Amino acid sequence: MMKTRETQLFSRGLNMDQLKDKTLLVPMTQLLSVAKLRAVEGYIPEENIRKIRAARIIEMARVARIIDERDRYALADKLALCVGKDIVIVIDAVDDEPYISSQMAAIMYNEELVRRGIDLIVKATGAKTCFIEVYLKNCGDEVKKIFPKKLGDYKIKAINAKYPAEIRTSSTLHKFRGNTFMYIGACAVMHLARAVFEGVYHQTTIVTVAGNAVANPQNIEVEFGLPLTELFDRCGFSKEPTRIVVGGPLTGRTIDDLSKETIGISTHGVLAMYENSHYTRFSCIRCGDCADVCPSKLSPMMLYNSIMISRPKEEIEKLDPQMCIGCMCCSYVCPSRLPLEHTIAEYNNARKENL
Amino acid sequence: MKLELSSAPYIYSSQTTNKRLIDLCLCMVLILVVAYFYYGSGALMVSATSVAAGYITNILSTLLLFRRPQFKDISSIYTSLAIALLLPANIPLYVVVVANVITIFAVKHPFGGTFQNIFNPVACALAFATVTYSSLVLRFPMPFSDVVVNVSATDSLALGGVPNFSVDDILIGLTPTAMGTGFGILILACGFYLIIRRVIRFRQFIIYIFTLAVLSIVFPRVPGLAYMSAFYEIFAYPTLFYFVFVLTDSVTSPARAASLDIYSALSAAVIFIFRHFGVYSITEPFAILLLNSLVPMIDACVENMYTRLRRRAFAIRQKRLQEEFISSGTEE
Repeated sequence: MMKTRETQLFSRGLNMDQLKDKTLLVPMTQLLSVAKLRAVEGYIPEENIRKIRAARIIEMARVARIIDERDRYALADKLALCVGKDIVIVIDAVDDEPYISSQMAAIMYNEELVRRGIDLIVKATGAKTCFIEVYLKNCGDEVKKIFPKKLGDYKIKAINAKYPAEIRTSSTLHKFRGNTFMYIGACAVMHLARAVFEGVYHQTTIVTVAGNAVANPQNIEVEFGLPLTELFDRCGFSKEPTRIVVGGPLTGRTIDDLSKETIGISTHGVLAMYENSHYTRFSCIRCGDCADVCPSKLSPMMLYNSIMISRPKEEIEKLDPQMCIGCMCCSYVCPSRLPLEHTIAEYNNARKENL
Repeated sequence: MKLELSSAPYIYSSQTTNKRLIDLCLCMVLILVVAYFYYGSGALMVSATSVAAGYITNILSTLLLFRRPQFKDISSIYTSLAIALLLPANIPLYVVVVANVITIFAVKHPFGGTFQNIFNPVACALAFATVTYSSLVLRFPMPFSDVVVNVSATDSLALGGVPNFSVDDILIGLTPTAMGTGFGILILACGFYLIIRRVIRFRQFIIYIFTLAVLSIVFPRVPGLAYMSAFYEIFAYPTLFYFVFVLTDSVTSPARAASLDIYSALSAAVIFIFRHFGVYSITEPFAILLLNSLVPMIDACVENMYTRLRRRAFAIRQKRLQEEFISSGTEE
């Protein structure tokens, strides 16, 4: 039986409530500045997959400038790498951060397009098998019920790992127990199908608009370059947010001006958060929760304390700060709300600059 | 719209430091209620004095160190309540005040204040009170009466005898003991509540009890039945209270789960050895202080082990990547 990367995942991490249900149960909509997506000049769309040559699919992925949202690699390059390698294609729909469900929405609401996109990828690469991985853990029963179990002949596999499952999905192309796996984002697959069957460029991205201050959370397919204000004009606020986060609630970044921020290829989530209480920060109580959840088996607490009291570099290096993967598990569980990951990341950045 | 800029994460686990302290205090208040029922207003007086002395001393010491006092900091309440419940209900109030003042001034603040102490403040206060006022601290009244008993269950065990109390009496606290430590069943219930609330760890609890029980069975102090020896060592002493509310204090314990396992086993062993060879019938505070001093060493050893494991795993991964990873200009 084929072993997948799931068996590689560490047991450490977070089991978080995914808070995706409201967003996923609302059908995905489109937000474009033009009536129709721009078509590739001189390309005549082909409906019959049998008539399309493998090389033509890869060429079309290049012409349509499809970028994989998973790793920001050009899809054409990724496909070209797989040709003739008897590879296993894994379609990545692992949205493991709470609220974020853009890849899952691509599968739920563009099921047929994604299936045809996978057909194209399998044809282009000559892959021996292909399946879809999704993160349904801690999602509501209704989502689990309506989420497709199969896309045509392709199995949808719900991975049973803790956050950060996606960060730890290993490299884009890797070997494991005799199989070579290539991971391709679900949205990129959808864009490939559009490029080949409709002849349009990759001009949109699926964005999850959610958060506790959003009135109508939903997934929206948005054209690149549109300002975030347009997203919130559509979704509305239930109360005035104190923070706007671009990205996930654990790894995103805050912005202070909605009108200056625009949608890019890697924008997969925009969250409006409201927090009315200001937590008093205590010092570290050495509870060890951060060490318990760290997927890299680091001791974030020891690293934080060592960095804060400016211990000699050699002592800090013994704690392997460079192995931090930036998943934020430590900061999430810290009962004293200490900026553990932030401090380690700053130390690592300073370290890189000094090298 | 005024938007805040801050670093990730933007959501947190529901567990906070204050919630942990509130859970601990709630459990102790529950024990205090039962103590009031057993020992009358004396229990309330001792506790109120302890909490007031601890809170005021904490604020005063913060002011003396030119720091801003944290009025919402309930850590001193937790410390003071624990100190009170580990003292006899009839103890003179000045002993309670002195124990609190000493622990806040000499143990908590010299190391940087709240959550910075190296030694457990409760254990320090009790060790100080035991050494200084042993005749007052180690003489306990019988519940529901003012009679002070000269030979408690722990004294009988220290003298090599069998406590003159039934198993039921020991379990429900009908023995002369510190006012919060006799109710074994209630303390166990509090312990399980704190395990569910993730304040203390189940594995640590099991290792501690198991080690103590095994040592008691292997080296029984009660003639005859070995398992009775284990029962007395666990329930006749205030060891359960010390475990649930003092030994598991995260600030003075090792950080990693593996270190905590070692710490728990060592604590049980040291407490047991002190009971066998120590002068005082109550040895937990001294054992905890000794163990606190070993925490940096335990942490360092376990961390070294983790460093080796991490690096070995990393080396294996790197080797596999070198062999198998196909990297050729895929970047956009």
